[in-house]
Amino acid sequence: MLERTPYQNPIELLQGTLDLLILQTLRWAPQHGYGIAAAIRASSRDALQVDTGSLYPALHRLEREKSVASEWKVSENKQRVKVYRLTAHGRRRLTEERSRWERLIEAMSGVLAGGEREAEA
Amino acid sequence: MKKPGRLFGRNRRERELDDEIASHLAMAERDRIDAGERPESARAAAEREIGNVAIVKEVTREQWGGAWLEQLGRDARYGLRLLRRSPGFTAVAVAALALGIGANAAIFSVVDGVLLRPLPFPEPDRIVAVEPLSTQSVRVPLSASYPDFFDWKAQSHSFTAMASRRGIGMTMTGGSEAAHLAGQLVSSDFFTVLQTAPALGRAFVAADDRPGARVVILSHELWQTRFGSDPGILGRSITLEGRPHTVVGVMPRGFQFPLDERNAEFWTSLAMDTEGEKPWTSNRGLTAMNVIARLRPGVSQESAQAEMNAIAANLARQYPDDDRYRAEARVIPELRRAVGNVRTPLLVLLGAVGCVLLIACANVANLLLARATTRHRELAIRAAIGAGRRRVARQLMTESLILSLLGGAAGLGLALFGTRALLRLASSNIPRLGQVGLDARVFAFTLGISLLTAVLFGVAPAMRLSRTDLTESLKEGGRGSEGGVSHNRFRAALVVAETAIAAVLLAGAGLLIASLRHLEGVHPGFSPRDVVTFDTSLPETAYPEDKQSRFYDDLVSSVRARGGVRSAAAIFPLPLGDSHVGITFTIEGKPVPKSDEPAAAFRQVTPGYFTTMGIPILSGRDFTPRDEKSAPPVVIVNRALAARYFPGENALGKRIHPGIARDGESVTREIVGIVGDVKHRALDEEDSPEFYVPHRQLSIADMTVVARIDGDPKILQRDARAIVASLDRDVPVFHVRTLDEYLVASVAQPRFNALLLSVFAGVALVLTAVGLYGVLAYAVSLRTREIVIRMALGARQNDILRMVVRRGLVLALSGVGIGLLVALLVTRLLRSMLFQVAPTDPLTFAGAGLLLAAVALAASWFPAHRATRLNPMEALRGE
Repeated sequence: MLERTPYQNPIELLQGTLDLLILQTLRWAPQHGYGIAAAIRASSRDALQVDTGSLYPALHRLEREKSVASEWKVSENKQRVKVYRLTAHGRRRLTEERSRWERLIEAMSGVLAGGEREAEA
Repeated sequence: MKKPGRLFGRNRRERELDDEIASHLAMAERDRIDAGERPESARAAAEREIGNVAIVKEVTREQWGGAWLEQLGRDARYGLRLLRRSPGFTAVAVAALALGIGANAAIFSVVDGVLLRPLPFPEPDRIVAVEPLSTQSVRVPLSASYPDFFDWKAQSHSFTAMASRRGIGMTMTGGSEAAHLAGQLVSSDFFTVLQTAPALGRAFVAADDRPGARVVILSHELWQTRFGSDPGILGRSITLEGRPHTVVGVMPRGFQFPLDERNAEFWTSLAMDTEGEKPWTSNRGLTAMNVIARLRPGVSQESAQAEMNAIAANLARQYPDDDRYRAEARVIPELRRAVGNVRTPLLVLLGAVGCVLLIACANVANLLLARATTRHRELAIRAAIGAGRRRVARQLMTESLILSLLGGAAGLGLALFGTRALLRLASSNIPRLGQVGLDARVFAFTLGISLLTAVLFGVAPAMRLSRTDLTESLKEGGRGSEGGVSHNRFRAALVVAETAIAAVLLAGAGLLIASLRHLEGVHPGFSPRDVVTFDTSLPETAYPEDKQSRFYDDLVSSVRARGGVRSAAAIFPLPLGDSHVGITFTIEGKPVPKSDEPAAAFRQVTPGYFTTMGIPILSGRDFTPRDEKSAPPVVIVNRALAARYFPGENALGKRIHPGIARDGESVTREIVGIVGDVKHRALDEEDSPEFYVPHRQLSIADMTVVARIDGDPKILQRDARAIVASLDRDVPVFHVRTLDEYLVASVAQPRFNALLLSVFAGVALVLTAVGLYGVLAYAVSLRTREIVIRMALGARQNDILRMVVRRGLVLALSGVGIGLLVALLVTRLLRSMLFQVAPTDPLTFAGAGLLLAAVALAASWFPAHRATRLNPMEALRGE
């Protein structure tokens, strides 16, 4: 069988990071799914490519937990598109996710820097 | 559905999802065109980027959550889509399940209707049978005598009512044609025990049991067919056995009791048995009655049993002549007694179809695992987007459930035909067959086993697949060969299990077939070809003794006078027929205590009986017309009687004294002939003593005419009625048959068992072969690279062939070995169904093993052959 393998990301996304990326992208303006994927790719300089098979489940999940809300609009190309925007709850989540991510980075860098510091419980 | 709005909402959400993905695709395409790609390739590239749209949608849908039912609905729709996409797999799986479930539903419908369904009377569990147990050697249930029954009834406290019954036939005259009716002669408490009142009129009362009472209760069917449902039937007089009987009641439609005898058309009181010089009701040695009783509320079967044993032991002490070896009385549920003979065979068949279903499950599990390899990618993606193991397992289980429900539905269709075929095949001596059918209970059972089946074949694959190492599968690019190897080991185990079960079934079927062959090989002692038989019954009022024997002399002469009749005679009771008379006797010069008197089967015959039946006269002579009342009393005995009671002597000329009870006749008879042994009750019985007396010396009202025919037996079968009518229009003719039919009927039950078990074993064999084939074919596909490399390195085709076939045989033979070991333990359950075959018959076991091995060889050969024809270039490129 001639199967393509589009599911291999250049950098594999850590579990849960996709939610953060989406919320961050929606911070300034509402956007549709394709736009979100394009924005993530552009702002990561092509390092992060969001797979459709992960993007839409994540969007629908965020919508279900009311972090984002959606409405149908007509784009500049006369295309009917579903546009997602951040809710108040989504904003709070973004803050939380961000600080968690930063703590993780800090911890990781500490470890990678040589592990002189003892990990705090 | 209660909430159409929600359903509508779901559909809208579906449409929106379609639109959303479509817009994504459109935007991706436009961006590519804007970037300078050619429109045709832009579309394809965008599609490629998005990947499998169906999966994307499916995993997105899963995020919607919602009610449990809604998720289930989504899983089901997705499962159905998948199954539609692989129709071959679906067809094979559903067919295997339908076979397994259908066979189970069909057999269950019989088991339920015959064994499980309670008796159709109030508080049916309280209705018990009370039977004397022989305490002489083997504990077998016996018939009771009236005096014993009366004593039981008077002395026991465990029952609210107790009644006796015995089957009788009676001739009804007065209509256009004399009719022989089957009925029951019952004591007045009969309907009290059953707690069922007639639909019309009254039940019997104590006064009906007194001499001279002539009352009858009709079955609904008789009332309909013979009396046109006449509402004024009560109080009318009908003529039975030449005597007027008053109709006092009509039973409700469908009422039947007992269940294991010919359907009764009437019930009459026991008044008749209280009459005569030596009435049955005062003869403790005459045992022909069945006793039923209703347990008092709060009294257990065990305590009733204890009480009855005490009473029986007392009677045995009190009346040693008759009851010495009847010192126990068994209390068992009437239903259990009535179906006792068919219980084991039916349960064995139920077990067998259970095994078939297990094999079908193993096969479907195998198919699911084989298919799983091609689904690794899909499952990996589902897991990657966060569907938990449980979520994936649930999806897989839903698919299994769909398969099993489809199989169940198809199986129910099969069962519809299967049950009908079963009823046609089943011998008429299985009680309650009329109740068998597909009803709510069978539906519930089928649904139940369908669900159970889904668990059986679905859980293992679901567990294994949901555990799949995701990253590995993805990296392998979907080939999943490593998982494949471990799956294949599991699948091999399944095939071994299948083979083992099939081996057990084959061994069982083989034993029954061997047993049937032995049974059919038994010589009945007479030659059954070309013999026509029919029963007649003389009303005793019109036919006193001398007229009885004259009538049968005339009847036999008329039959002989017909063209094509080589010889004819009359007898009662006919071997392998419904009746049996055993009578005790004493040997002149060898006195024994009355309780230890030997018994022998007793027959009354006209001269020429032995020649007509082809029973050899070993020494002495046949009866002649001169053996009449005024002549010296004579008797002819069979070889078994002569050998047992006159060992080493010449029995001819010896004198015996049959204790003939009914007419009080009791004379010493000289043995004038010795004839060959005849199987009188069943082909599987040992030859046992029997004696014959001439009908002119001891006449009887009911006899069976036997006539050996040259040519077409149908001629006499058609003429029988006319011949009898020309002698007396009021004498009925019934049971017009051939001896062959009796012989066939006597092996109908074992033949039914053997046939069904063979069919199930055959199905098991085919399913097992398919399973083995599947596993080997898949193993070959997994090892393609290895095989072509071997070939490239110079392995010959035969080596490859041998390699694959060896694997098949190793699997099959392990299964056969395990199966035959299990069979050694299990076939013991068949013991009561086997004749002249040990439950562990080595020949049968070897045959079953060989057959399975041969089938396994064939099933292995095809994949092996395919392996030898692999084209190395293509095979490697395919990798």
